[in-house]
Amino acid sequence: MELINRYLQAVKFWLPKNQKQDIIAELAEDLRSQIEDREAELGRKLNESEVADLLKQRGRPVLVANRYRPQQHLIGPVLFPIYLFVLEVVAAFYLLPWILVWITVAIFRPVHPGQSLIATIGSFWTSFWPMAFLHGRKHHHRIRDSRESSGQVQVYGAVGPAQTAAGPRSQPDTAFHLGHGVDCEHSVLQLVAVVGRRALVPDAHSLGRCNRHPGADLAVLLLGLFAAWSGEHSGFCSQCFPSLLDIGASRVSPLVRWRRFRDLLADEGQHCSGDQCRKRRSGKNRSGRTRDQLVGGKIVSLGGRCLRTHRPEQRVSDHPRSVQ
Amino acid sequence: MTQSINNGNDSLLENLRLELRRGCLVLAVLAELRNEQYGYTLRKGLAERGLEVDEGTLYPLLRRLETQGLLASEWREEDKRNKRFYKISRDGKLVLKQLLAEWQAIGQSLEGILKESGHGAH
Repeated sequence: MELINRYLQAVKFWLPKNQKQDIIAELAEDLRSQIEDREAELGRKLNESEVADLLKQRGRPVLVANRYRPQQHLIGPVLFPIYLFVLEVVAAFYLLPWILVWITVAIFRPVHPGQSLIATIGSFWTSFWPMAFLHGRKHHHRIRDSRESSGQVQVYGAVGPAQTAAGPRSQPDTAFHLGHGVDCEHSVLQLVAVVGRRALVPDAHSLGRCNRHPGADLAVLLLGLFAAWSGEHSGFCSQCFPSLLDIGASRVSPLVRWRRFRDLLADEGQHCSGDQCRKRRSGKNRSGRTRDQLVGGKIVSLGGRCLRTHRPEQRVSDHPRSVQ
Repeated sequence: MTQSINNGNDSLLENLRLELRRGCLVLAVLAELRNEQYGYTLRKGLAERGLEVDEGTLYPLLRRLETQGLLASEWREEDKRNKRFYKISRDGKLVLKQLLAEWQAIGQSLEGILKESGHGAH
């Protein structure tokens, strides 16, 4: 009986709060009835291993409890094609430039070749996940009903973003400078951004404006989130999807505010004091409050305070990895 | 290779079979609960008639049908034990009647289709 109680407690842990007692009472009754029936058949009491077998037949507590939960989908079948489309577009405009950047970094990085290679492989893996996702999806379609393949898709889908999330802070800095403040990585991304923007932004606009379907809203929200997040790390998406960022801004306003706050902290002490920016600082809206300004997808002013960053020449040349 | 194809077919067949049974199960449960029963006896009754259902499927289904107003339930003591008894509600009876009509119509249509294509059900 102790075994049954432990099993029921384990199931109870996973059940919805408001139904725990009721469901457990019913399950307990069903188990006891089944045991009594079995004992009547055998003409003796069940031993512990037989009870354990009976419980094993019922399945893992978490799975048993899961059947009592309402069916919930993070992305339902209706939204999934849009979600997938968004992922594919993002992957297509994200993977290739990063491969090029990392190959370039591997060739030109002025450190020990071994260290450079390891760092590059590590960094490359960070950008590898979109390709892994696409591969996983292809595999998933080929053997649609195989549990193994869907497991692979999940692994591909989960490992990559986790790496990406952890990567930008833990991996070695792969950006390097060619002198005169030209950030090579950023330049390549800007080049790709021009192409990517032309291809993607009209679609994003049509999703945001014309479609009243909730799926379209979610797709724009996801893109907005990605753009905000990615802009945080590389500046790439803030170049690539400025309009998208605008569309999603109202929906991801807490994130955008956080981003502004980060910008403020990061740029502290590097504010422009030129005449042009003074004019911007004095800009006020109709209610008399100073306004934030968004130029080229970047916030240059927060509450009338200039946030535009200038890179003095000497700062760049002082950089230890600069190529003179 | 052949074995993997067979395994694939087995799992496909199992999925299709479950899909086919899922709809029938609601009908069977509603029909069976025209007489009041508690969960375990209902499960046994269905199994004796050739429709085995595991408890992980049956109890959530009973709760769902009750939420939808097709079943009514109450806790009552029997043999010194508290048991939850289920019975079909008035709405449930109405739905059952309509579902049975639908079921018979589907059965007739399917029978006609199978006869035409020479795969008569024996």
